[in-house]
Amino acid sequence: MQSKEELLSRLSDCVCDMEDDEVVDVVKEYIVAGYDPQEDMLEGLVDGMKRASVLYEEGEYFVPELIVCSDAMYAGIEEFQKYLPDTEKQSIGKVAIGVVEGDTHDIGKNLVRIMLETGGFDVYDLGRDVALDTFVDYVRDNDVDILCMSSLMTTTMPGMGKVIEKLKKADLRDKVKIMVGGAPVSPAFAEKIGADGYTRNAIEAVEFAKKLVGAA
Amino acid sequence: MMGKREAVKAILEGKGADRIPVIMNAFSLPVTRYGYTMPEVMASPEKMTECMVGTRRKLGYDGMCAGAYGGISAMMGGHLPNSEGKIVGDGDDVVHSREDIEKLRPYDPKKCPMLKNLLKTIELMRKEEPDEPIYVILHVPAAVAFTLMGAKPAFKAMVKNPELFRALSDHVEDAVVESSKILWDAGVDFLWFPMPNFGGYCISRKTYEKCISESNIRANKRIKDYGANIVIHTCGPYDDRFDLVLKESGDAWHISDTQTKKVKDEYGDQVSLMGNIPCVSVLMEGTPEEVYKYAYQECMDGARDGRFILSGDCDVSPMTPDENVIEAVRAAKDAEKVLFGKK
Repeated sequence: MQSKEELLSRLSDCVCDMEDDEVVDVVKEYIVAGYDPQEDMLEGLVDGMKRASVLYEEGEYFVPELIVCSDAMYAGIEEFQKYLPDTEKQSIGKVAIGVVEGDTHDIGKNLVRIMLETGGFDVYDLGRDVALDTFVDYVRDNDVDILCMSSLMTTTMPGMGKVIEKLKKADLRDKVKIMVGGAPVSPAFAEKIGADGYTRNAIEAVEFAKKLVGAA
Repeated sequence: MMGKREAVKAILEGKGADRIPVIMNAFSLPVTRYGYTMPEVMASPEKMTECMVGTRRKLGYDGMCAGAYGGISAMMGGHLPNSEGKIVGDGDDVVHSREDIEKLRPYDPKKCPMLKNLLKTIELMRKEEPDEPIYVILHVPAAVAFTLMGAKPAFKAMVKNPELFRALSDHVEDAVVESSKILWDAGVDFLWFPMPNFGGYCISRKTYEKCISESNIRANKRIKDYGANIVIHTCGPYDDRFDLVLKESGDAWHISDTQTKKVKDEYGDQVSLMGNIPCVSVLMEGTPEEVYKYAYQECMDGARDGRFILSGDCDVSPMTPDENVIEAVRAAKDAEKVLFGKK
């Protein structure tokens, strides 16, 4: 029988090596071996995703590889959850995220969502091509720390500024921190529209979000 | 002095021109200026022509985009449900297996309303502006496959099932070649192929080589065989894979996220260049002086052999100040005087 450390290491490897089928078998092995699913199995899966993030930063992995790694992580988590009692999830902050109206490019947004979840945030995904008022409504109706918006096209970029204006008009701007991102977005643009910050990629987004909620 | 279309033709044929065309790749800017939406102008050749011609005349740049052709995925896969089980009609995210490829409908250009509108737009634009270069935006087979699969499944397939991605690209190749020929025959000056999902922001060189290269080489060669001029928009970082793109028969590369001088030094004797003013940080956010300086330097770096088209590095943002576009045009004119001895 493999030790707990060996199984955790294998879980991490499954995620990092994009083994989205094998990961489920390793989770089962872990449970059959009698280890407590609550203790630190998630650490193995999340560790794999963090290693994948490092490879992405280093230019070894790209978007396709990160997607498959995240699928492996979620496959493991899904299996893992079958053995967990219903407990309150630990969260360092609540985030709502979406791609603004007119834009259906959501890969970057999905990566940020995955990384934020991996980093300990509770994330609500509003989806892509999200009506501007939907962002405002969500902030009004929910307890949320950070609103993340993205746009891949210069055409739809102005939508992020419009959401901020709408939040101001609704007296909601101070309720939430705002992060913006996307290929054409720049720090200057973020400042111009009154966002709290811009990050270049999903990895930076997590660190910046942690700073915004005082968890860095 | 060469006419504008003559100059573009010479540039794309590698002969060099005595002027620097300024084709600003302004698509959303004219649409927004006229208060239209994208779906509106795509459905109305008259509105498209009105805003493209009007904005070009007002701001003084050269050439016009007649529109983007996305009709292949809609026509072949619009009847299929996407991964959420909905039939949206655009053919996005509908092919996820070999069996799904078999369910695709044949491509029939005569029945494609989007193509019909595009052809009408070209006709109207040509009538209004007989001496202006006109181009259309098309997608390489791999880009059509990417749409049909949906972004996430397509990226995933590149790792887990590249054979499926390649099979789908191959399946749509005839449609891409056929529609390209029809648009070329309608009298455009070049076909503009953007590849935003295949650059260094998204995929590795290895994946590009494995999933994209071969299809591009084959399809572009077939399109070139019809006599068409092709501009490949390397949208994103391509520095690590320009040598692969070189095999794809592009008459020019519309570059971004790189340095014009560097690409010119390395590949300038083999391919003409278009670009490369950053659309956000310079064109949209810069001062007119900064835009002039950047655009002028671009011309000096790229146009010394007369094989350069000045442009933004992407679609020009609707929030770009008019004076910044005008300054870019002025910079090209001033560079022409220095490079080609114009008065």
